[in-house]
Amino acid sequence: MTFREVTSDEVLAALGEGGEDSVLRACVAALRVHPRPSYTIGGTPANALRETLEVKYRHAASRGKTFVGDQELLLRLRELGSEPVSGVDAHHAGKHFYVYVTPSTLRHVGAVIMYDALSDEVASG
Amino acid sequence: MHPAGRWLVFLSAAIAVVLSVVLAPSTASAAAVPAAGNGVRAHHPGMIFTVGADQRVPAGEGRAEGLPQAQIVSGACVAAEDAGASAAADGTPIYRGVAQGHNAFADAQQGIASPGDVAGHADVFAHNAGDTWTSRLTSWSTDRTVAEGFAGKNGVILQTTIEEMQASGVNIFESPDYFDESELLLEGRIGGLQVTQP
Repeated sequence: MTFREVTSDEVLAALGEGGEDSVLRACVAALRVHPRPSYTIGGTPANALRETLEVKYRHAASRGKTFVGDQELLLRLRELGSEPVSGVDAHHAGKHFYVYVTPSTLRHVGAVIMYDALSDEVASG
Repeated sequence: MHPAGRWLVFLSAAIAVVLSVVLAPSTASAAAVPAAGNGVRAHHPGMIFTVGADQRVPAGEGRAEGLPQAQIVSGACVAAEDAGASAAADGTPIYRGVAQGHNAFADAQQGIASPGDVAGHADVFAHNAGDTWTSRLTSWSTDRTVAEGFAGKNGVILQTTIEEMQASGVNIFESPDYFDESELLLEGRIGGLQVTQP
């Protein structure tokens, strides 16, 4: 597999507004407000990415992180098997927005928001 | 002594003096910039970031043009057998867990850390997000329990120290570490590492 650099505009054009998926819509909005000049689009087999993310999510959860959309993403990655998947992300105010995409088309595979539940409670309280 | 010989002796001495003046400040500055209590130093300020610093690698860093040649760390293999004891005593230990079935597992069993692609990108954001198969970086942690999580029950844990990697010329990148993994990212294929069980 190889990688390429894509601009923020290319990513946003491919993702549109995010459709009916509220998690994806929030992630797209974050990507729009907090873009990087470009993103590296590589490609990791979905099953390998799933195994990695399962460990990362488990560890982050043990450190107080909360996830939205994670189970749906992991299920989708399981379905995709060895298909390559890449990701783009945005980070703001302690919240982390991830959109995983098919490298060739930049169509979304799934979206996850991770945030620190404790900080969020403190901030809102 | 032949005049030409005297000239060579003088020339050698002059070069030695110049080198000592030129090199002394950079050596001193490298040794004098320890990071926040973890022993990471600004060995190669352009490539190696101190842990805890707020420096990020831009996405453009991932471009493949003009990559440094990936290489197995020379000399480290010799010390591999006793690296464990000295690693814990003489530096900041770092760990990399590799699960059985991982594409780099066979190399890991031999004490080699293999990135997904030695000619791949070095985008720390993409790597941290899990897209590692096209990356020339490998993930490490200063927290052994994190490596144990990645190794699983039947995997292996590679171990070395930050200082040993720096001394070997391995580039160390700071991870954005959004998952609180105490993560460091090391560039290229690295051999001669201590192999332990989870």
